[in-house]
Amino acid sequence: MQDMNRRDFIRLLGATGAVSGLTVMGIPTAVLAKASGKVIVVGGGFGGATCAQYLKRWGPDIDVTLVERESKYVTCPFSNEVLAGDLPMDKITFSYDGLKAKGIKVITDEVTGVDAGSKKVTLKGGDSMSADMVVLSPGIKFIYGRVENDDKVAESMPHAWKAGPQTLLLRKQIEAMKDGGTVLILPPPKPFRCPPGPYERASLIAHYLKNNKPKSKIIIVDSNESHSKQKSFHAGWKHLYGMGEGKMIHWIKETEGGKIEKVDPSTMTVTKEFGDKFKGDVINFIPYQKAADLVHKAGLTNKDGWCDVHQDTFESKVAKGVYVLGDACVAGAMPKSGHSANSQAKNCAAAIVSKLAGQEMPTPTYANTCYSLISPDFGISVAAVYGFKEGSIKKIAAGVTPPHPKEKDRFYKNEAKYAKGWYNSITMDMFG
Amino acid sequence: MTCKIVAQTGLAAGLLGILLVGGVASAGDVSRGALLASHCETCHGMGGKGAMPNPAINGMDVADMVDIMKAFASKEESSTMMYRHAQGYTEEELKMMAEYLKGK
Ligand SMILES: Cc1cc2nc3c(=O)[nH]c(=O)nc-3n(C[C@H](O)[C@H](O)[C@H](O)COP(=O)(O)OP(=O)(O)OC[C@H]3O[C@@H](n4cnc5c(N)ncnc54)[C@H](O)[C@@H]3O)c2cc1C
Ligand code: HEC
Repeated sequence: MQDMNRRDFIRLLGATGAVSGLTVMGIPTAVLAKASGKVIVVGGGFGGATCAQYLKRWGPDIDVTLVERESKYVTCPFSNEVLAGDLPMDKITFSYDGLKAKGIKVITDEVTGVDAGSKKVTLKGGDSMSADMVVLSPGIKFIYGRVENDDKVAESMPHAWKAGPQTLLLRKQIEAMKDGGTVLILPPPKPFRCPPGPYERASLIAHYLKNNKPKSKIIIVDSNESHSKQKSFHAGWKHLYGMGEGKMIHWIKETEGGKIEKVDPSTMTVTKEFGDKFKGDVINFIPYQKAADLVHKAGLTNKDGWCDVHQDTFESKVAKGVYVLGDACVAGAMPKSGHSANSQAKNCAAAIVSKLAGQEMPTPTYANTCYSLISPDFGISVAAVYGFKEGSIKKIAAGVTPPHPKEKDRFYKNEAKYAKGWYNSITMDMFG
Repeated sequence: MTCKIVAQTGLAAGLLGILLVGGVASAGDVSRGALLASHCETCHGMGGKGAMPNPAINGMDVADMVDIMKAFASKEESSTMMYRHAQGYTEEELKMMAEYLKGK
């Protein structure tokens, strides 16, 4: 054995087809490798929690620490169901006990600084710690000043774009609204977290209104001229609620009157660039978005406010040994979704484990799926598989659920059913 | 030819035995099959063991898995979701993930 190096050995196994045989038996392919070192992951959401889990799974000897500001995580996926009164908050709230049980150190604190050079992370409590590698998945922050008064309306026009108290506040306002009232939903210009999110939200609020306040209306005053799964959403709206001016859901695109210029909490009105005014009884103003503060302060963002990374490993293009995942990074053709962040996290974990073991990472592979419920029993989705080509993430295969009634009714019902399966599975992947 | 493969497989298995006995087989590795399959586990639960109501896909025969994935991709086997994922992988990749999931 001494005179045969690891590569030769692996080549021999490969030649016999036994490499795959070994993985079947649950034995790692590169039996001589051992990944060890210290990795700090910041942010315990879709990117961070998944990355910590897979670092530990694929590199059990790696010292993995997860730092998260909150003691519990509330998922944005299925928060529109909470908003519509179909699900209690505790069903979308998770603790980090599952990660702790696997030997991941979990620290509940806010990271105030990341020194990219020394891989030193400073906590609000004053402590600091260093690692071989730092992974950041801190999500988004809202940026204000693009729309007049946009920094003053978090209470009067809740965004509910980070799940938690904001979700419950918007829920309370919708519940308190009189029958015959108007709900305005104001999506920001792309790119933003969860491209189908505002339209799923309109759907599930419509479902609530139809059953409880049927004279009410929803107007989506969009700052975009098209939206995710558009045809399938619109067909579903027509089928279930009625769509168009005077109907339950009315969608006004950006080209009709321009972007939103002003929100006024004292009169509960919204004004578009070319003067059109809308009055709402409940207003859901979703602010413009950028990568979270943490990565700005660490100097990791580009001129647009997002982080450029090597899209195979997710290592920052400006800081070696620092990796950025999820909503905060630029990931080629992938949308900003929880499923995308989960997929990116697995590639990042594979890259780090391989690097710490002195191996090449396996060829990256990525996937995304975004289910949207148009009602609790009517689902649609978009799904794609991606590969790494010429330095960026490109689509290999993709598809959207065909608009109703191209498929049988049970198809949409099954999509709604499997959406819950997706949720159960991905949250198990993160927190189980 | 067949003989040679058998001989090499035997050698490899022998070496593996030595490594295992020597306790060298240690943690810290991720195979291509594991990375590919981790993208199935997102919906099918850890180790592909299922996540209600999504079906379990672990322990399946490799040829059967490749077969059904190709049938999903061509829509010969109807599905709400799977055709879109199945279309994203080559046969070689399907085999690698199937081999990984078979052992779970
Ligand atoms: C209404 C809505 C519905 C959605 N539905 C879906 C869906 O159905 N499917 C889907 O795939 N995606 C969905 N999304 C998108 C999804 O929620 C995000 O894309 C995903 O959360 C991104 O993951 P992330 O890891 O980048 O950020 P996050 O999940 O936001 O995690 C970031 C974490 O970092 C922590 N953090 C930030 N800064 C610090 C700091 N300085 N110190 C310590 N901790 C810090 C935060 O507290 C947070 O827990 C939805 C989003 C919304 C708003
Ligand atoms: C977005 C969620 C999702 C992902 C990702 C996913 N699946 Fe599926 N899978 C489903 C659903 C939903 C079904 C049920 C059939 C349908 O309607 O698509 C299914 C069915 C299957 C079946 C049939 C099982 C049976 O007993 O009928 C197999 C096999 C399968 N998937 C394999 C895979 C493999 C392999 C991968 C990884 C490449 C994968 N799936 C990724 C959601 C997913």
